[in-house]
Amino acid sequence: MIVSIILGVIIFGYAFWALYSSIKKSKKGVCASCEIAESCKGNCTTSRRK
Amino acid sequence: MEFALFGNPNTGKTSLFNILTDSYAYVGNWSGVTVEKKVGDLSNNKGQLIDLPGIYTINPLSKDEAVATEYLMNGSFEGIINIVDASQLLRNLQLTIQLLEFGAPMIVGLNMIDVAKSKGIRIDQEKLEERLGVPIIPIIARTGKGCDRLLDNLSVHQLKTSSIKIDYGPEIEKLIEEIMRLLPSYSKISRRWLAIQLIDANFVVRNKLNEIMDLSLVDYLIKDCEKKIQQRYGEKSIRQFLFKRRQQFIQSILADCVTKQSVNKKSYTEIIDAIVTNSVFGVITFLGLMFLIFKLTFDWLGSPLSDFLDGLISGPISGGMEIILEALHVTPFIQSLILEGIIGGVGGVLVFVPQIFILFFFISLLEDSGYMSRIAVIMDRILELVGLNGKAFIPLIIGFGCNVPGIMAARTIEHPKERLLTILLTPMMSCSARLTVYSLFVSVFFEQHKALIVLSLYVLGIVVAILLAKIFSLFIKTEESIFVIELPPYRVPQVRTLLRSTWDKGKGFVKKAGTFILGGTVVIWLLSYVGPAGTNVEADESFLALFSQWIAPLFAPLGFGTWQAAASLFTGFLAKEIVVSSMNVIYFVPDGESLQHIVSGVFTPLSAYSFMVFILLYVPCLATVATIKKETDSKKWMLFSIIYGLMVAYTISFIIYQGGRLLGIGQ
Repeated sequence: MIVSIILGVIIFGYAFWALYSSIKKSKKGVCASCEIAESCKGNCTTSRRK
Repeated sequence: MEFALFGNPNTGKTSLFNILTDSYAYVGNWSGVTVEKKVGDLSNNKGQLIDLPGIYTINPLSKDEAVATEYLMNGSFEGIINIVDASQLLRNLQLTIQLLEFGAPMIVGLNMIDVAKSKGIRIDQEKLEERLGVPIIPIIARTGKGCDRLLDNLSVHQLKTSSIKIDYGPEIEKLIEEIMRLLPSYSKISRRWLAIQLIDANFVVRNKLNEIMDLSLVDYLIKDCEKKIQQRYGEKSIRQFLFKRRQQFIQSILADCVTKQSVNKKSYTEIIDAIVTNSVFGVITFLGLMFLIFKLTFDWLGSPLSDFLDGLISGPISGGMEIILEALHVTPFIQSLILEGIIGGVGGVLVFVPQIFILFFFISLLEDSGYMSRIAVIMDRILELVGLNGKAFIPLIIGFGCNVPGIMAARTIEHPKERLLTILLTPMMSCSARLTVYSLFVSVFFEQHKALIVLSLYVLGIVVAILLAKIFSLFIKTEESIFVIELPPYRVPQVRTLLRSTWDKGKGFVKKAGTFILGGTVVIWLLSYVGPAGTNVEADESFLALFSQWIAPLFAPLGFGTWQAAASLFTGFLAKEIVVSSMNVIYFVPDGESLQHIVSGVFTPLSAYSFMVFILLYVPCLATVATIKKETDSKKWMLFSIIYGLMVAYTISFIIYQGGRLLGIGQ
């Protein structure tokens, strides 16, 4: 039973977190698709429309 | 320390960026690949390098070009690396001259010297260095040759500020003097450069100065001088005159430093181009190549690998996991979650990884070889008829990989309306996420014609986009514009670049499987496992079925009016790959029957095709919708893209399904 609870918490915890962060990232759209988003310090701010 | 990378489009800036920063950004053998600035740490830890979109002059035409000019004006860089195509010096030096006039410390990377040599062009590097007044390093960015030397030279002591000064003639020189006197002192930027850019009608410079001073007197002086120039030299505009003066200056440099031996024989690039850019043979070649790629992806290479992976996941992995879970006395709830939800759902998507990588490998091959630019040329003739031009096809091609960068690539289009039209049409391009759905259905219903069916879907996406462009252009009036694209020479792609490019495109899919798809699948599993009657209910009694039953009848005229199809379509809005993982969960049967087998009992070939068409055309995924909102800066257009997608998908699927039924096809 303990193993089941631990597995359940890990899986659901990770799944909801993954879904939440993926939706958040998708909503950002532009930067999320960039190949070097993780290392880039530009933050895609240069050409935002005024 | 920051160094900025400037250069014409498709001169290898991003290739150089990747080498100097040890990072991997998307590189394509065509112009307009970089539409945003990218920042990376130099591999010698001496500072940062900023990769900027390619520009022909400092005076921007489109949104992406303005990024480079704005950075030049406002960036905090210590030096400039100007990358120059050695085989196209006359055109490339226009930008170089303007950068030298700007007055920042600079170094020139003379790229593609191998191409120049093959064209019989010999450049006297020392003389060129002397004339331009800055150091010049010959490089081949593709292979990395000479790049170490360039990196070693990147220090403020070694970069030089050129004292170059072009004589623009007495009228303009007088005008420059007058404007310089009116200008306030402006941090690091030379007043002469500002004055020249104002005369050249550079709107970024103008807007910046307009914030701190009244430009009406400057405008008057420029207009007055323009009249004089028109009368005396018969030039159309003052800008034209500036361009010609620079051109004369560059020609005098080239006469001094460059010798060209005539190469008489036709290059193989010219021979191939005669066929692939021909309006009839070009289209046939393109379709033939795509067919071949799909054949390799789905039949010859992809399917055996996918089948092997499928066997591995549904056999030893699933079985082994079941034994482990039994041994640990894990509850049936968690067992079902792991076996049906995660291994069944996510594993069901992972089996398509080989096919996706194979497709990306061949797309990278086409890109790096230089062939993609030719497709834009062929498409230009077709797109012209519907109010767009070939430049719009580049974002559309990029959209085949993923719609998000495709929409971003529309920034290279100058006219706002043409850009909007391209943004709205890009979601019609069949991105790789949709490939998982095609893979599943073609392997069940179209065993003999997999490649042909997938090709038909890709072509349908393009045809629908073209027809919609015609309809939209009736409401969104576009201005006439000319399409100019450089056709890079064909080259044999390097294995290293190809593999990196393929991995770069495909890794997102694998990563998504572990995050987005897994998260979505677990939620779907939970909704299908729980119902009003409690847990472990029959799928038909689950919450998922209850919700989906409401809208399922709407899809009945399209051939897939089941709650299972409706539920998976819903999840597809998050990411299109989740459609397949949802189906794996929804249709899961514990006796090991494969999804393929179950699907074959629920769909007919006709309804399967109608379903694939619906997946191709209906609402763009969440990331695409968000990007449309950001790039158009309008909720209205975002909603429009969702609604029109749904309407188009419904209409075409309806025509296909009902038409097919009437004709008695595929039932």
